Amino acid sequence: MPSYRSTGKERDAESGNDYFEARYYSSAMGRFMSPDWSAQEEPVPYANLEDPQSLNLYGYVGNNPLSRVDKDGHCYPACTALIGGLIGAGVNVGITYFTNPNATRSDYIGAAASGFLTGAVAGATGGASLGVQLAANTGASVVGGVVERSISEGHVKVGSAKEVLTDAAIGAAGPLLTAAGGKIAKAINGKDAEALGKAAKGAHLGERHAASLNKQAAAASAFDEAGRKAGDTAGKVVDGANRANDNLNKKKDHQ
Amino acid sequence: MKSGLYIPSGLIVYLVVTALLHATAHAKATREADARVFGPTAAVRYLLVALILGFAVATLYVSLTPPPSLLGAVIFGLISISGTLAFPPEVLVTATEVAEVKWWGAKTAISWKDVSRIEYHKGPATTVVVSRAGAKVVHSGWNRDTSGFLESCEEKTGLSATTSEL
Repeated sequence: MPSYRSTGKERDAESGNDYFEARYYSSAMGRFMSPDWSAQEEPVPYANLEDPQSLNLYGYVGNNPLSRVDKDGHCYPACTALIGGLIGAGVNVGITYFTNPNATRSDYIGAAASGFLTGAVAGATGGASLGVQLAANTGASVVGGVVERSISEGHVKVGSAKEVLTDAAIGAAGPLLTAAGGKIAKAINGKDAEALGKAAKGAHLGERHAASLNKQAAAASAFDEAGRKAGDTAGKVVDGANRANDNLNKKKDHQ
Repeated sequence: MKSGLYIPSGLIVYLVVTALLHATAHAKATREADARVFGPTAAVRYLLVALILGFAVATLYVSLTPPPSLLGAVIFGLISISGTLAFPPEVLVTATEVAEVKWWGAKTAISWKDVSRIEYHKGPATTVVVSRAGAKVVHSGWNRDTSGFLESCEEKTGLSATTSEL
């Protein structure tokens, strides 16, 4: 049977060293047995020049094990799941309060445990692919149902096949409903976008039509101006001809 | 579940949790002096405080009133404690660094030039910024503006986030 140390690492019985996945740590020496390394080649992996202890490739958490823990270099972000569990527990206790006036203390404890489990899984997988969500939430709902029944009854109770299948269906319904809702919203948004596109196209056509009308109006205005100028010129020519005619008549009168 | 009335509870829990996560992910970051602050939304903050206090009171209630229930005290107590420890921190982004401030004041800051990698976990919508020294700043699914934070990190470091399903 393997023995596990303070940070949950397995101790190798033969060497007495703790297995930290990337390398072995000797608790007797307070040192790792091989230098720190990273997949990406660099002179001193994970070094920070403002912290000289980080340059020691054999040191454990900067030689400060009282306040730091090196789990495996990949701290899993469990915060979202735990907060999801807290909210789930609260929601499930609330549902029990409002739907079961005869609920006992055990019923509330069972509801909290079940809600914590399903809420934590919902939080941890909320952004994952549909397949992952379906598998995780169906499983969580089934296990949550067993936990709730067992706590409520005071002994381990898996429940009837109908109860287990109902829990599984309820667990699967959440991701399926959300995915379907997302698709519907996308379709509605898509239609909206299509309508907006048509409106924009219509507005563009209207704009082009207005520009064309403006050009025609400008051309008409230019033509009008040209006509006015031609009229003025013609008027001047007529005036000139009249004056010439008057002069001729005056000469004839003199003779 | 125990009776017909309990049947939709799992579905309601799922819908409430995912709806709150979705609303948080799309809430805009706030601005404080020269920093963008990616904290939890006010609704989530008040809800969590109420639930943590409620389960703490429930722990005392089932422990002290007859018949005392050890199982109840353990379950309610663990729920309350886990919420307290996992309470989403304030995540601050400035021109020079990214920092995480827990509610009890513990601060982890990483200079942009010291960032060695960025991880994005799709399932919990969590972004983890890791420094060369191994320090981590975690933007959880309960912090505002998931995509905005990830884009800021990629833009300021020039690194691309490694994406994983969970």
